[in-house]
Amino acid sequence: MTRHLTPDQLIDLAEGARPESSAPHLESCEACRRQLADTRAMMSATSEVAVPEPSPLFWDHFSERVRRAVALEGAPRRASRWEQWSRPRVVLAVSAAALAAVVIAAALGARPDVPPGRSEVISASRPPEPPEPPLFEPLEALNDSSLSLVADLTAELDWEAVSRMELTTHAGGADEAVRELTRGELRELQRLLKEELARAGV
Amino acid sequence: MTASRREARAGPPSPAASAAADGSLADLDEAALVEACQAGRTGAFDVVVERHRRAIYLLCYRFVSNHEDASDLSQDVFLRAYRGLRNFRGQSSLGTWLHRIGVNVCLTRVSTKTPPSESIDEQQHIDTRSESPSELVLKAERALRVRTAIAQLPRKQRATLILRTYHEMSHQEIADILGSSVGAVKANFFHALGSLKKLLGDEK
Repeated sequence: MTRHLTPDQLIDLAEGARPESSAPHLESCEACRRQLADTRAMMSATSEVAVPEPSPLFWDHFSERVRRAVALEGAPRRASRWEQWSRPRVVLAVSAAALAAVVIAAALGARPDVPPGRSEVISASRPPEPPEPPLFEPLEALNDSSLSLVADLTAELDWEAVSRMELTTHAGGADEAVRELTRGELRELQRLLKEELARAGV
Repeated sequence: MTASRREARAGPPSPAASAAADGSLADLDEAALVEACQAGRTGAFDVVVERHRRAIYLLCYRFVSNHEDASDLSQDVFLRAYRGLRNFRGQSSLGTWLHRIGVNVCLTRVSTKTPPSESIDEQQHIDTRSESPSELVLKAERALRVRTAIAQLPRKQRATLILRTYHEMSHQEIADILGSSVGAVKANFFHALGSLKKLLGDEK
């Protein structure tokens, strides 16, 4: 014996989307025939229930009500720049960038490249070397509004403030790992972050 | 096509509303009309309301079964649509989108236990000229029983049955509105009809 018809098949048959000849099982199955008949009967019973038509005057009254309610709302408009910025996807990307910027800044501030005292020894024995180029370009130089915003948001933050705000990760997390990076590795990280931000269109 | 399925399609615009709407706006196709709304063009949203108010009202009426609530819910639907229009990108038709808002508004507002509250006497605007008084009474009683039974269906079954039976929506359109698959829509419809049979049978 073939399997019973599925709800999907019964609806298609009841609505006439497929002919009964496409379901030979019906001929041999009283249960499916009964279900199909019941389905059709209920479709017919429900379709006969009409909705009372409102008075023709109602529609103008209704449109006027909507018009008044809409007038209180103000004109529809496209999302402002700030609203575009505050969409979750953008907020997430900017937050990630802000966190990364804070972590990198904190890593640089917390880990001096030259131990204290050593520079004095060097300066006594040989002429001072030309200053190294800054590790990071000033953010303004990137001419990137998203990074400027990140800079503005993080300008007042230090590592302790960031920790208090629980923006840091757990022990052994990415922020700690970043603090252990060398200057060369930090430059590479900066390059990768810039690439990702450019790709995300932030 | 039954009368009840035809009813959900847009009716003729009223002369007053047509006059209120800018003539050139009334001629716009859907995409251009949406663009006009998004650009804040005066009168553009009036045209949207005029084109879809009847279908939305009837949808809401199917959920609440009384004129006052259907009217309030319909207004709420259009207000939400107005707020959301700036984000409308035309992935579905405007009608489907408005029905989606309508279903959400109705399902949020209406408890599955809400009984139909319009009495038989209040249903004075149904065209009944060809029927005898006794036929009218029987038909009205039958309609009330069916509406009461529909009001007791689970939310998705109820929405599916209303959209399919009274709004001529395809299974795909209903799936888009309810955020489900075509298979799930057909299954919901089948089970809704089965539940109705039980509910109506229990009353006998």
